[in-house]
Amino acid sequence: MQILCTIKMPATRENFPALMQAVADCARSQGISSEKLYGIELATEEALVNIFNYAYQGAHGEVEIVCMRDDGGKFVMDIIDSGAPFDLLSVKDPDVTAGIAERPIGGLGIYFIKKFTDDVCYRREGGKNILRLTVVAGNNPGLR
Amino acid sequence: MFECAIAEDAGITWVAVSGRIDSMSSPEFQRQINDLMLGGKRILVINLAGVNYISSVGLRVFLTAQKQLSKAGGEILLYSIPDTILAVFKQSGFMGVFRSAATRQEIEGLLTPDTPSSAPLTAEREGVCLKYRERKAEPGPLVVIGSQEKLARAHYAEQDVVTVRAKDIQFGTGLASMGERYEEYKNFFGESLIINRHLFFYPAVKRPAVDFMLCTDDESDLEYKFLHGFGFNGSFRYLVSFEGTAGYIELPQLVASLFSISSANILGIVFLAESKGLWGMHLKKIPVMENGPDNGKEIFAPENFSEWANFPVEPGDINTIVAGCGIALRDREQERPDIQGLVAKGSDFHIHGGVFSPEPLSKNPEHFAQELTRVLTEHEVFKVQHILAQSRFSSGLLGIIEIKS
Repeated sequence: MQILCTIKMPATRENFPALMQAVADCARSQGISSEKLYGIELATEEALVNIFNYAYQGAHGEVEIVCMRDDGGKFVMDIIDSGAPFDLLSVKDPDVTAGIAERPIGGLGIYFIKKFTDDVCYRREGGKNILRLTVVAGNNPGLR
Repeated sequence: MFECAIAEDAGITWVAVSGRIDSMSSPEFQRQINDLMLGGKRILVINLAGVNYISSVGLRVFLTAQKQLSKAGGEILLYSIPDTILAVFKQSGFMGVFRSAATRQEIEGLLTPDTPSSAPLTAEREGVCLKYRERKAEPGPLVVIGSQEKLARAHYAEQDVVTVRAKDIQFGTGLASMGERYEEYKNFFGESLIINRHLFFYPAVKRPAVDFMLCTDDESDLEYKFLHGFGFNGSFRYLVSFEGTAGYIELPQLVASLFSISSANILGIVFLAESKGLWGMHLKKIPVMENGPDNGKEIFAPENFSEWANFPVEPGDINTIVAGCGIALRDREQERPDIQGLVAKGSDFHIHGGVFSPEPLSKNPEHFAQELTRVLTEHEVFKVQHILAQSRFSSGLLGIIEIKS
């Protein structure tokens, strides 16, 4: 596994553009297709929004993103925070067939992370939440 | 980068969005959509051709607005969606919640009603555009409750209280309260409104909050206590949707426009309207004998006025929904003195309104009854006031009950 870039910043909304930019630049430098880039950006945004809103529950904390390339050429990202333990894989998928009146506002973010990447892993390690997103070359599963 | 350009064309509001609809830009997008809905827009066609990215936060703006508009007979339509964005909408299951089109003609096709022959009547009077439906309805009775005679001197006492049964009054205004014992309920008299037999009253005390009693049963034994007021019953002869032809409408314009569609001498009016600046007045003290002014003068005398009346110095409650009712008098000389006394000289109406939390209203006159129920039973209510003539509205729905002269 080769580390491409690491970015660590306070987990606040002001840093959202910088974090997104760093990830997009890194993915582009690897010749990722625009379809795949959409998935990477979307999953990153949804994960960051979750961390901003819930991880530190009002207290200060940081978020770290490590972009990597594995030996098979896959693009791998670790999104890391030191907030409350949260395994987003434990969240049930929303009912995307519900009609307008029944449909709750929200709940799509985590669903998008799963749908627009090829693999999602979660581990809690050393007081940290580590979300690992993997994107393989080729088409974006979410855009098919 | 995010941009949002709004254009009106043949009654359709086109919103051309470009760039990224993400966590950064969504609050701005939400604000623009809210402004359009508060401004009375019900059909929004969102042109997504220039959008290259949308996240769940952006989709939330679409869903929230669609939920509000769908309750008001409105809709968001999606126009010219790029494939990538369409895929995200599809993954979310949103294509079952939004209709979409690729061409202008398709949009127009989606918006053409199935039964054009059933279109309501329209009229333009006094700067007010009216869409209305006429129905068969007999004129209803108007009842004077108590007397205003003791108001100016704050001389009301227990023997002046009139008990009104909810089952006997559909609509009304006045100074009312609720309770069993005079010693208790006398402390809560305030500006009042009865709509659909529900009572809303705003006690004339320091830091008041609206009290209300919802009456869901036409045969209810509920009783309301009045110092004075009036009530009217009957079925709506006209259901009306109104809108200013050039911006807002002042209340006297609206009343004048209604006299052009009904020929009755007294109109019972029940309305829902979007406020563009309300001038409302309410009492600050309860006009019972023990509160009477020490100086022996009337409560509306200059020395006592500010202590007794909350009189507006500027318009308030902009963008709220006002639900109200009252009467309008075409020619006061034709009526009995006690009925003439219900409407101040120099005015031709007496209307009370409740200020409710905003949400888009339907523009279809046929939806009036259901919209009224929705606002009265689901929305938050902030105050009940006597509505003054300077009050301005952008649009709304109303029903007219013609009153027997």
